[in-house]
Amino acid sequence: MSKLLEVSNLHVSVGEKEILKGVDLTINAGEVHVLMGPNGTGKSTLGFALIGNPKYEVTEGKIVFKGEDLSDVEVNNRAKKGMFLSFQNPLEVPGVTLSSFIRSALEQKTGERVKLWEFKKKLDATLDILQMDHSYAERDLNVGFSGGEKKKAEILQLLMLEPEFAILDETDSGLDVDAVRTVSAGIEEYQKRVGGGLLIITHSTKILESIHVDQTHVMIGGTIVKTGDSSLVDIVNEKGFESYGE
Amino acid sequence: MKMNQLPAFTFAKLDLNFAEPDYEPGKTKEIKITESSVINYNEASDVKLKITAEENKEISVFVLFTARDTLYLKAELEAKKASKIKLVEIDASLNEGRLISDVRGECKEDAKIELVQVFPGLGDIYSDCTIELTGDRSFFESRTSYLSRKGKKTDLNYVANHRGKDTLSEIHADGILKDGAEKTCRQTVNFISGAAGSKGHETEHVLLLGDDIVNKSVPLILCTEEDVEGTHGAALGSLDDEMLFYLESRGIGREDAEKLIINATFNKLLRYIDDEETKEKTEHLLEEVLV
Amino acid sequence: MEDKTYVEDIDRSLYDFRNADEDAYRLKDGLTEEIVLQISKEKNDPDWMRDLRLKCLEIYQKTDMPVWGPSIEGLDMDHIATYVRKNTKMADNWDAVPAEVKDTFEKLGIPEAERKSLAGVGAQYDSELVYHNIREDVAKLGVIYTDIESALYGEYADMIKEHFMTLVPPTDHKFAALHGAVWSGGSFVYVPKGVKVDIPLQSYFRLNAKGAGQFEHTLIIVDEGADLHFIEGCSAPKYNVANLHAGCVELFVHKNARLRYSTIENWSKNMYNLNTKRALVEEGAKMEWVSGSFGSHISYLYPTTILKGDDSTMEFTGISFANTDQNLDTGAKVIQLGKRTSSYMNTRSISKGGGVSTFRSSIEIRKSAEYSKSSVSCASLMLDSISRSDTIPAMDIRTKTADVGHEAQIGKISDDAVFYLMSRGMSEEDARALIVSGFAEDVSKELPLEYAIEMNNLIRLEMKGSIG
Repeated sequence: MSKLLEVSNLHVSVGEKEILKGVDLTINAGEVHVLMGPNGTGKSTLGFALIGNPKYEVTEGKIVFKGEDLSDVEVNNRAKKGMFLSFQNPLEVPGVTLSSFIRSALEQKTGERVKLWEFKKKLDATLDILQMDHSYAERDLNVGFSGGEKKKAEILQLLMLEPEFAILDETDSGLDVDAVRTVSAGIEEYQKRVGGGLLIITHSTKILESIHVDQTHVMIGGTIVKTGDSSLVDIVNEKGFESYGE
Repeated sequence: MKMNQLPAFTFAKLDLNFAEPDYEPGKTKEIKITESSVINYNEASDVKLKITAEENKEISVFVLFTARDTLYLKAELEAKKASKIKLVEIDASLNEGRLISDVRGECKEDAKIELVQVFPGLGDIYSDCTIELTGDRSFFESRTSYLSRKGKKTDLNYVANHRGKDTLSEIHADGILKDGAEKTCRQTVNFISGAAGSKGHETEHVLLLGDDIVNKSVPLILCTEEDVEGTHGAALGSLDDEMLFYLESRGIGREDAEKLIINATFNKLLRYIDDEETKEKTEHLLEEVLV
Repeated sequence: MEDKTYVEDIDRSLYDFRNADEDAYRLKDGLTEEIVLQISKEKNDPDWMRDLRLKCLEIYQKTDMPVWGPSIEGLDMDHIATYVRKNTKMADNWDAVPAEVKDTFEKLGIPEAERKSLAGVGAQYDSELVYHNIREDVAKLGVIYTDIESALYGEYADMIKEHFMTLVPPTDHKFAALHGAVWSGGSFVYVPKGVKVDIPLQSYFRLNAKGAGQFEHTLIIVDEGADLHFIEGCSAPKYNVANLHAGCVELFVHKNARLRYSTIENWSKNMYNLNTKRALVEEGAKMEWVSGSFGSHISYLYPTTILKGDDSTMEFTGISFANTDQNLDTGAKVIQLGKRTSSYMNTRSISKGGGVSTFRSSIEIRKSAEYSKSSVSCASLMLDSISRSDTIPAMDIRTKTADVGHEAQIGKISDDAVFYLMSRGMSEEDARALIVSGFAEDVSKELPLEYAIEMNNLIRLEMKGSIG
C-alpha cells in the first residue's frame, strides 16, 4: 500500500510552549486511524500542524504528504493537494453562502469553473445524505448554525471537496445520538466516494461503530504512547488512559 | 452644498460634523411615484422623487445609477398607515461619477421604510437619510454596503427620529476600504420623549484592506425617553486571522479570500432586491465594478 | 407612563457648607490685562511666566467658544473673581492652617485619609494651597510633591519651564488660554527613575468663595520605570451665582512607567467645570484614568491621552451622574501614534431628574500606529423621561492594521430586577439604588476602598427620592 502521510519526529510549539514532542505516524491510502487521548494532550495541535496553521510552529521533524515534504507548503496549498481538516469550532463567515463557498473552494482546487447544474445536483444529494434541508446551501456559512449543524456542514464540505486525506477533529463531540449517526453515515459515504485516508480524533466509540478502523493511537503528553488495532479503542474506553501514564 | 449634518455636533477638529460636496443642484425635476418602479440614470441629473405609499400598500423603488457625472437625488418618502416603502439605490458609477442622495421620510402607524444601498461604484457617494418615525410601531431599516477606493469619497449619514411608541430602527452599514479610501459614516438613533417601548440598533463593520486610508465613524445614540433600548456595535479591522485560516484550509488563498469577502458584503444585500430583473442587473454590475 | 416622585432638594450638607472668610484677599471680578498682571505680581512670577500669562490672555480674547457641547451662556467672566486668597501661608502641618480652613478639610476627611492611606497631601482653598506635605519615607526616595509656585524657583525650575503648558498649549481651546492667563495653585509631582510609590498622593481642591474661579495647574512627571497613583478630589458649597473651574492637568509618563490618575469630582451645582487633562505616554508606559463626575452645573471634561511611544497603553474608566440642573459632558480622547499601542475605555453614565449626561469620545489611530488596538464600551442608564442621555463617540482610523471595537447601549432599570429585589423585602428606593450601584460597579472597583465607598455614598445620595 502506498504511503499517504508520513509524520516523523514531529515537534510543535505554540508561542514558547512545546506541545507535540516527537510524533511518528504513518497513514496509508484508504486507511482509517483513530487518535485518542486525554484533553490538552496535543491531538488538536496535531490536526492544526498537519493542515498548516501558522500559529503552530514545527520546530523539529517533518510531515510528508503523498511523498512531498510539506514544510514550505502553505495551508491553502495543502488543501489543494488534498488535505482537509474538519474544525472543532468552524468559523462563521457572514455573506458567504455555504454553496458559493464550496463552489469557490472547488474552483480553487481544480482551477476550472464548476458547472452550476451538476454542482447543484451533487450538493442537494449530499445534503440529503446528511439530512440537511436544501435551504442550508443558501444560508451564510455557519452563521446562526447550531453546534450540530456546523459539524454537518463540515462533513458536507468533506463530501463535496473529496480530499484524499481528512482529519476529523472531534466532529462527533457535543452531538446527540441521531446527529452522530448522520455524521457517521457521512463518513461512510466519503469512504465510498473517495476511499481516502482518515484520521479521526475522538473521545467516543459511537462514531466508530459502523466504520472499519485500521489503527488506533493513544496520545499522552504530546507523543503517541501506544498504537494498536481497533480493539484498542474498546480497551481505552473501559480502562481509561491511566495505564499509559496518565 | 452642506449636508450629512450630525444631529449633535462633536469636536470640530475631527472634521466630521457635516460634509460639503462641491456641488449645487440646479432646478430639480419632480417625479411622483405611487407604484413600484425601476429608474435608471446613466447621465447627470438633478431629480426629486416624491414616493408615497398609500395605506396598506407596499411599493419598491429601484434606482440604478451608472454614469461619469453627478446624480443629485432628493427623495421624499411618505409611508402611510401600515404601508411599506422600499427604496433601493444601486450605484455602479464610473470614475468621476458622483451620487448625492438626500432622503427624507416619514413613517406613519405600523408603516415601514426600508432603505437598501448597494455602493460598489467608482465615484463619490454622499448619502443623507433622515426618517421620522411618527406613527406607533413604525419601522425604519437601512442596509448599506460600500466599497471605497483611491480617489473615492464615501460620506454617509443616517438618522432615525423615534417619536411614536414601540418604534424600531435598524441601521446597518458594512464596507470595505482599499488603498487610499476615504470614508465617513454617521449613524444616529434619536429617542424623543414619548417614544416609549422603542428600540434602535446601529452596527458598522469596516474591513480595512488598503494603505493610506481614512476611516471615520460616529455612531450616536441620543435619548430623552426612559423606556427605550438602544445599542451600537462597531468593528473595524483587517480580515480576521482565524477566518482567513479557515478559508485557506479549504484551499482559498488570501487574495481570493479577500475577493470572496468583498463579494459577500454585497451579496448580503442582493437578498433585499426582490425584483428579479433588477437583481440580475445588479449582479451583472457588481461583476463589472468589483474587478 | 408611571408617575415618579422627586424630592428636589437632596441633602448635600456633607459638601455644602460655606465659610464667611472675611479676611480673604480678593481681586475684583473680570478678566483684563490689569488683573492678569496683578495676579502675576501677587504670585511673584518669573518673567517668562508673566509673559506667558499675557500671551494666553491675548489668545483667549481671540478664540471662539466651541461649536459643540452644552451651553455656557450663563457664565459671564465679568462676574468671576479669578483670584481669591486666604490671608495665610502654605503650611506643612495642619495645626498651622487657619481653624476655619482646617475645619473645612476635616469635614471632607482629608487629614484622616492622609494619616491612614496617603503618601502625601496637597490642599488648595480657593486660589492658593494652604497645606502641602509628603511622607518622609517617600520624600527620601527622591519623590517631589509640592506646589508649583515654590517649584518655579527651586531645583526643578527648569523642569517646570520645560513642561508647563506644552502638552496643553493655550491655543488648544478658549479655556486652556484662560487657564494660562490666570492659573494659580495646583501641584507638581516628580517621581524619579525606577521609583515605585506604592500608596497614593492626593490633592484636594476646595472652592469656597462665591462667584470665583479656581484655576489650579497640576504637573506630574513620572520618570522611566517609575510608578505613581495620584488622586484628585474637588468640591465647593453651592451659591446662586456661577462659579468657574478651569484647571489644567499635564502628565508626562516616561518609558515603561505607570501613572494612575483618579478623580472624584463633586463640585456644587452652580459650577462651570471646564477642565483640561492630558497625558503624554512614552514607550511601554501605561496611563490609567479613573474618573467619577457627580457635581457641577456644566462640565466639559475629556481627559486626553497621547500614546506616543510604541507599546504604550491607556485605560479609561469613568462614571458620570447627572441630576437636576446638571449638564455633564464627559468622556475621553486618545491619539495613538506609536506601534502596537492600545486604548481601552469603559464608561457608565446615569441621568435623572432632568439632568443631561453626554458621553463624548474620540479615538484617533494615526497611520504610524501600526497594529494598534482600541476598544470602547459605554453604557447609559435613563432613570426617567425628563432627563437626557446622549452618546457621541467618534473614531478616526488611518491604518489598516488597526483593530477597533466599539459598543454602546442605553436603557432603563429593568422592572423585573426591581421586582425581584422587592420580593426579597427591599424597598423600591433601595432596590433602584442597589441596581444603579451595580451598574457603577465597574468603575468603583477601580478605586481605593475609601473612595469607592465615597462614590457609592454619592450615588445613594443622588438616588434618594427617586421612587418609580
